[in-house]
Amino acid sequence: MKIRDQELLARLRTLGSKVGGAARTAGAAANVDDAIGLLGLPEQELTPTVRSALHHLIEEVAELRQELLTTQGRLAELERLADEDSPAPISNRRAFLRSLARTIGYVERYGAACSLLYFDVNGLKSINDTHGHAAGDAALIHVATVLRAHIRASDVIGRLGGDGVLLTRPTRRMR
Amino acid sequence: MSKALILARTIAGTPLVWEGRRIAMSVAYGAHGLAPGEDPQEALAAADRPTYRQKRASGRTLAGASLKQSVRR
Repeated sequence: MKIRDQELLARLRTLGSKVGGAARTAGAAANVDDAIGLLGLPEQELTPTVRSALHHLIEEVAELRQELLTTQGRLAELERLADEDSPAPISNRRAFLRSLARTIGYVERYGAACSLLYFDVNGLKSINDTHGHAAGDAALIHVATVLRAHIRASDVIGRLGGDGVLLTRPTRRMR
Repeated sequence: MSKALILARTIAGTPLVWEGRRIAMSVAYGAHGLAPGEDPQEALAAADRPTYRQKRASGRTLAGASLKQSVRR
């Protein structure tokens, strides 16, 4: 056996051993042939040991891919939750500043015209004093919700933690 | 009429209902055209300035912390 083959087998065994007693399915066997085609392995190198190792490797990859997809899905959901102050779809400080920086980038690169609008709730302190802080918070969410209903879906609404609600929106169609 | 003004009027026309009571809403507003390569914090301050001016001009009390304070955090 050539040295290159031994190295290859050792690597395949390491990966394959992680799979353990995974069942040999007809589909996996077909994938082994696909892999052989893709790798361009010459016929004389396809010993049963190599085929078996390859089979394990493919299963391992499929398993890892599934794990990755699951993790990515969970991550996307967490990102979405981290970017919103529930219950209204309002970007929090972190998400809004990130989006603002991105919008400025578009203005710079593509000559897009975009505005930043700021709406500061009048008398928020008196709302807090009269009705409690939950009412003050509800007032800000209310303003953001009213804005959301009257702007484009692509406009971004955010709160930075002060008395106001911010909005970025394109003001002219990009050429 | 500017979009900001239209939105401000819409907000003023939509009171908040809180625990069965209607709370009138009004906002001061400011708009800032984003400039290429501008610093995001600068842009926020630039949108805050006309808002603050409007608030002062209308004689309403400036309630709580202004945006400037939250920008510095």
